Amino acid sequence: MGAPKILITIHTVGGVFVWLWFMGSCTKEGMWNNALTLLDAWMAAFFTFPLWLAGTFITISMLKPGPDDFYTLFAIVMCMGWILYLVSFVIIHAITDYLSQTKVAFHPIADKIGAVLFAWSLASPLGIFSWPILILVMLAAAGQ
Amino acid sequence: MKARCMSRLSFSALAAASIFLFARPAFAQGLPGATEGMPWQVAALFTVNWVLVAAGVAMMSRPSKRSEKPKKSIDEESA
Repeated sequence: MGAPKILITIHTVGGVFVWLWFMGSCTKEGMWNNALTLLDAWMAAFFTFPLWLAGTFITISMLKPGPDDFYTLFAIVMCMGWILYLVSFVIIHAITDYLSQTKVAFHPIADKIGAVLFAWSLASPLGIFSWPILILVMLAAAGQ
Repeated sequence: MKARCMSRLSFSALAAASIFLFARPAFAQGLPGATEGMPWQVAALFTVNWVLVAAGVAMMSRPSKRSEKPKKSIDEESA
């Protein structure tokens, strides 16, 4: 097995692990908490995206990268996206925690089903932000 | 709390075992073998990406401090 294929396998295993982690640690939190966390995660993603695009254009125009600077530029853009996303998430989550200090009660069955569904979806924004590196690894695998 | 800790430990052990099993051929060949056919920058960026994913997971799975019942208002407490 070549190195890119190993990385793709690790990425898949890691993705399953993250999904299991959310299922294991967030299902008990209940539907209201998980729904708010998912909302915060997606709001942070929508908030980050325009800033990330603007940051990418500013970085390219400032650095004026040559043909050998692809990986440097990729590293800057990738880390900038992640840091913007994580900072936005922390801010939005803190605001939500302040605004909603009490759990909203639902019917126990609805609460259980909702908690599982929302916990199941929590990994989705992280998966989307991991697509750039996955595409890079797939290109490396295709080039072998 | 103990159950949550145990589930996290078991998930971590499962992930570490899976990664070791799948990555073992690459580790066995040493670093030059592990990055054969691929620029080392890709492996480095891959690692950085997963460190950032782990940070995101830690932030998003943090237990909530929301209470089950609403806090009593000042009027209710004084009455």
